[in-house]
Amino acid sequence: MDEIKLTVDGQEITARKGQTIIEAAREAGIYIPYLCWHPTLKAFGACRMCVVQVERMRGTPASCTTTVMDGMVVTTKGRAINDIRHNIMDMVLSEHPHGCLTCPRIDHCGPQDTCLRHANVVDRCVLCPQNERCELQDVVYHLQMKDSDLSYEYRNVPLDSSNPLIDHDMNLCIVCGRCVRACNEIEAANAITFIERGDRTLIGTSLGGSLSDSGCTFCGACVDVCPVGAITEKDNKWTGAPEKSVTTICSHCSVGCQLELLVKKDRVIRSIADLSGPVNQGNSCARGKFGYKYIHSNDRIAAPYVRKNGELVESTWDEALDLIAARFSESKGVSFGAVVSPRATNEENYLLQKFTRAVMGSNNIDHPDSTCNADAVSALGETLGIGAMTNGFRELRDSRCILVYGSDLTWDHPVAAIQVKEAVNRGATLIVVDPAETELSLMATHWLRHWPGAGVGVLAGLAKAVLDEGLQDQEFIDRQTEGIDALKGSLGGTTVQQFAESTGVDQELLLNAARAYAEAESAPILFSTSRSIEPGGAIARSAANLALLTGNLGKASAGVNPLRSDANSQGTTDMGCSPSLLPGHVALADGAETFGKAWGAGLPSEAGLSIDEMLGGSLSNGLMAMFISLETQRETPDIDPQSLSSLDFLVVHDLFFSDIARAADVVLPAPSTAEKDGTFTNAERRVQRVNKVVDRIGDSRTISEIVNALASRMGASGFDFESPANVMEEIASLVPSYGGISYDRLGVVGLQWPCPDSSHPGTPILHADGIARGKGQLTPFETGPYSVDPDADYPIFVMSGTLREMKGVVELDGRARAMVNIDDAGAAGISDGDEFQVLTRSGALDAVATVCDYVPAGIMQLSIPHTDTLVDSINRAPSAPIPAGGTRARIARPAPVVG
Amino acid sequence: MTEAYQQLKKRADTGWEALANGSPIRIMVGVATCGRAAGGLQVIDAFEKAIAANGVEARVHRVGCIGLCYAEVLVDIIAPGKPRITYANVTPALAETLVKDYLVGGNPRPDLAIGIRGEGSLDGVPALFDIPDLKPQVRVAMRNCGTIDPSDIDQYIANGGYAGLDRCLSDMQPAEVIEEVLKSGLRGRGGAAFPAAMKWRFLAGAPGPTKYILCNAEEGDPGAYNDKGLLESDPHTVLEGMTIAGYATAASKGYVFIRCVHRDVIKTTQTAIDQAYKEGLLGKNILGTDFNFDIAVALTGESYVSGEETALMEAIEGKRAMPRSRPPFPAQVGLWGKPSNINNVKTYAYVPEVLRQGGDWYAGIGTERSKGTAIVCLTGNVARPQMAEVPFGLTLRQVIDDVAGGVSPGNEIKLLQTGGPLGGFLGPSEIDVTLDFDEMAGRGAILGSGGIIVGDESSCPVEMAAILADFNNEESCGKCFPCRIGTKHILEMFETMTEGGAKEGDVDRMLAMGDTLLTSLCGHGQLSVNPIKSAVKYFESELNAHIIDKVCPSGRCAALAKPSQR
Repeated sequence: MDEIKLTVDGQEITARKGQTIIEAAREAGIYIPYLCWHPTLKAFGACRMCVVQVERMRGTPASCTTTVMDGMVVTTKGRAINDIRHNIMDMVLSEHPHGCLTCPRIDHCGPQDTCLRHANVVDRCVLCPQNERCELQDVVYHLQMKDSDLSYEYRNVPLDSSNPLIDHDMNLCIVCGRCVRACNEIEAANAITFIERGDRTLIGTSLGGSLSDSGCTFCGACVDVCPVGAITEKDNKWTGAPEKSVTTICSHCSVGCQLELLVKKDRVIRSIADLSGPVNQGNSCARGKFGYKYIHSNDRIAAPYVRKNGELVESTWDEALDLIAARFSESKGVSFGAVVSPRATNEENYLLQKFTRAVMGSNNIDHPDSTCNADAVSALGETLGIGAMTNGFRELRDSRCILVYGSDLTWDHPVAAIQVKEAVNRGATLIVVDPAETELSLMATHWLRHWPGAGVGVLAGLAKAVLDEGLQDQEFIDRQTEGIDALKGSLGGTTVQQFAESTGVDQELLLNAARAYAEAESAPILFSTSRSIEPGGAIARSAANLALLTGNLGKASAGVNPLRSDANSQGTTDMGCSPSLLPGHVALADGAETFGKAWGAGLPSEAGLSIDEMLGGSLSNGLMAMFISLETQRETPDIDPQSLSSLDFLVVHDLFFSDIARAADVVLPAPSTAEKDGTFTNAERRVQRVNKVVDRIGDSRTISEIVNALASRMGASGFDFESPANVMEEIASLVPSYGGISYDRLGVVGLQWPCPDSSHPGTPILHADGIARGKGQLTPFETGPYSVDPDADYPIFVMSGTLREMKGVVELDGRARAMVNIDDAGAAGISDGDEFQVLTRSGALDAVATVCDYVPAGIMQLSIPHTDTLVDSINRAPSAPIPAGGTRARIARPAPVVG
Repeated sequence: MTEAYQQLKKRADTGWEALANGSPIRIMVGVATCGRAAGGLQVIDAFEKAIAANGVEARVHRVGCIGLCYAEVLVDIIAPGKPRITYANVTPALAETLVKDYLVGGNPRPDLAIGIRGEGSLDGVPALFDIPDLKPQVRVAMRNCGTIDPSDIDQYIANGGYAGLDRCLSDMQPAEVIEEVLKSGLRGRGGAAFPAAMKWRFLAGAPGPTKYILCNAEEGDPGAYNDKGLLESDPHTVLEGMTIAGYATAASKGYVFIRCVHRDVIKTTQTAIDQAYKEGLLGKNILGTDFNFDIAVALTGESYVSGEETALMEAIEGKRAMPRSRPPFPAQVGLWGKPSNINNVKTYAYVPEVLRQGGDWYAGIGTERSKGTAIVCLTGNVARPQMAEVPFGLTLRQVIDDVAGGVSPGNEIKLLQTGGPLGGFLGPSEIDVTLDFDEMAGRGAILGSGGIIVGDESSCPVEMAAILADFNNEESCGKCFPCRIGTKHILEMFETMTEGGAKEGDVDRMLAMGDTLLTSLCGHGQLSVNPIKSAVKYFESELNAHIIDKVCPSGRCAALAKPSQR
């Protein structure tokens, strides 16, 4: 019914209803030249290059703004149309440098050649960063343009190279407006706009300031859509056209954006957000867009290292593996522990935990992301039946009300934040529960800014208000939950006013937020536990309470959604990298038989040590040997190498030498995500393919390969797989929720678990057929208040935040900014604008103080300018640790510079 | 008639009667923009001081502009038993004289008066509407301009205001209202002259509940100030027209869209809106019926293109004013994606009278296909620059000579610039064209916004074209490539020509861009070739003099030789 037939240049083609002529023609392989149109953007109709003639329509309509109709007869060629296109291109070339564009010698000239026609340097295509990948060039060649008699004028606008990621050369701009639209339509931002008017119209920031001052998040969407060399990435600006493009999953956070990595000479030269990515659909963030340089860093570990006479010296794989096999054989059982990376693939992590349990006989396996999130995830497992996000990221944009708890979403999960911004643009109410200022808190309808540690009290206050005003979904509570009395009991004798007083949130604000949340058709809760003092379990149970009370489960754009930290945090948990859970979140006792049988080994029954217990520096944990795989791309996790000094034997598998690696007995080079195949499971339970993009760098090996080599040396079997696809087959056979997942089925959109069999389409929304647990467990609120252990040496509590308040002064000088309370500043003797050191137990960081009363005494909000941190963090492993949220710190004046 | 209206009318009539009888004495000073520019506020000051000093009991009213801009400051004085006497070019000194001589001494100074209104007579002073400027005029939209105080809703109501709305709400179905407007033959005054009722019918048929009635008061054409003049002098006629349109189309809200720098227009309009809300003529349950309608003022930055209907909607939405592509048309997808109707200030201003006096009455004025009147702003080389409302069917020469007093003696009209800078200009051969949408369109001219700039023999068409091209380039919003870049090259060509650098073939090259410019999204780009076209059509020999002989026949282009120097 929705199929439409039309004739284009005498050829009958079919199109879908609502398509424009240019879209239909493109799909049918008919080229219509265009400049301002772009497949990811709404039609704009500005360049008029794509004009066509349509029978029974007046004039020459633009094919990008004219929708197809049945029986339409379209002509895309011919004298009249050609004249218009030539005229327009003449005009464009009258203000775009084109010394080479209409020159027959262009194919013979290189950047180093002297121009025989004396074209000015700035006018030569061969000296343009976009040469070979310029869309204007393509159209000029298509039109077979000759020199125009219109007068040409070079704009002579200074190049803007003031930020570390994106260059603007507005002399090359053709004012097609793609970048402006991309900023608005893709990123839901308005950092750039058209400036001036008439023939002076160009692209810039509305007030003429820098990109970061204007709200740019450096997502790079403008770079991706710019048809010419006006907006380019600074890195690899001059590397020309790529040789190939490989689709893979971003490794920087748990959203799971699909990226196209462009490759030239076996190097990743550019990253472009993939339109067909199920989560991002063309979105990316600064890390996804620009965070690939670490892959080819010269600091990468290139070969195995073995400690000899106290020194780590370069070695061979055979020597290293022989040594590890021998030493591990001596440390079987509870004296062995493994820490896996939440950035390694499912297949690698599955095999490492299998090795740990089946070969080493130990349950001492965990990953760094579990420190803050394990509680939350298992709490959701207990209350709802499944410990993961109930809903997907993409649904957020259709929500009517969104509650974000404790997450600096725009920084930690930027592409998820875009969905929230889009929802707000569409009129959704945004509730932010956060003691620190974040970009979202400034956009929020209701910002419930509470005393640190009182966040669960805010959620309880919301629940109290919902119940007081009778806004709960009683039918849902009766049918799908249990424990309402205990919940009510925990709120008995309290009032909303008391919650307001104890949390520091205005009572009216609390009431309004409760009404907005309860009355919305669909209202998701997004929460992160990594920045909060409150325990993850208490947060998760409170969030689940709110959703169950209001019936916000089992439907689209709703739910309870824990945000995970890393690209494969969810998958790492799913794969059983947990001291108490086997793959598929199965308790040790419940799965011992199945897994023992499948792996042909007796499994240890005692729960193992958590990561905190393994790395907490306790000499009494009994560990003798450890295998730590980190895949450091960014900050070094908060692990004190001192805590590992009691070990007899430490193996570290990593991309870069960190303090931990330097303390190891054997260091093994790891491949980056771009150098291997496998799968990641993002926070919304979507299993997606990670594809090898470039050849291995150095002599690196994956965990799978290492574990296989060790197992064979140690006489164990069950680790010899031909490819990661075969590993997934074994996972599918043992983990019911992965039962229907195979590489053949994953395709470009992946599958969301539970996916029990090979015909199951995956489960985007959990609890749609009733709460997985049977009945949702309502639990008494554990309101705290909570506080981090007082520490006289480090009295100040550090929160990370984006400090939008100070955007105007944050120039890209690489210095962190800290909001310091007036009293704390006074006590430490620093004043506004002073540079000081933030001292933590693990290190020091220089910061510039903004002394204010935005933060209460005892709290410091620390922000690192985005772009610099990015550049810093994606290019190498930083040496200065960045204090994570929740760290205790003290203020110190830097030592005066002598001399 | 609704009961609510009856009460309003009663109160208003009482007030107006007192005013017309001069009890107490009324002094009405023109303080629209033209009046202020001429010193209207100082004149008010002088009157107030003088009446206080002389112990005269009198009230000073601030009225709008009757249209005789050249004669400002205009002052009407109504004393008991005397007609309403209009004095022109009043200064503060003259104000003092009038108080002393007339209000104290009883001498109405006929030597200073230009006309009288109402009953009674004054020696040697004609009836105001018999003076040459006003005699050919028919006042419909401008009926109250300069007569009433725009900040007093009662003065509007006493003169028939809101009777049209009252008639709609008490006696007519929305469809009947549209029928009545259709019968009147009222065509849009924004430039395209599209029948207003047809446009309303599109909106009436569009799905609700949210629909918008937009009033375009952006008015950026140089030489046109009638939209601002109307809003400054009689804002309620525009508001009433919008409200009637809202009723006819089941729309929910209206916006009057004004350029942010016109502070007095904004203030007058906002005051009128506030009063209409207070009197139950806007908001919920208008005149006690179940009809609800809101109006607000929306402002734009200074951009000519924001007067284009889709760009205007972008601007109201807070975006850069750039036109959208059509279809979809505003009646389907307009402001904030909702169905919208947009008309010019003048179009709405006619509507109350069409409803009060009937479509047939209105259709009785004007020509076969251009009904009613045209509001024109006459400027340039004329004796009496002014804003006038003349019936369709006069010739342009009649309007210029009779109303505006023609060009200086012994001089001839050489060119006319009508309908804004995109309209190009008309040459001597077209000056006898009839004022009529279609007649004018047939000659390649548009009435557009109603601005008529008159050039006498001293004007140079090339210089004029360069000025127009400069405006067109400067004001291009920069969206469509042909407009953004094409207007630059047209300007460049004319500038080169005035400097003596033009070559043969330049003009043809630019004319060849005409079809390409036509592909632009809005009229700005589409029409920007008109300055060249009209220069070629009417002044080819002068063009060639500039290009080939390097001579400016009118002697205005400084870089070129004057004819005498050849």
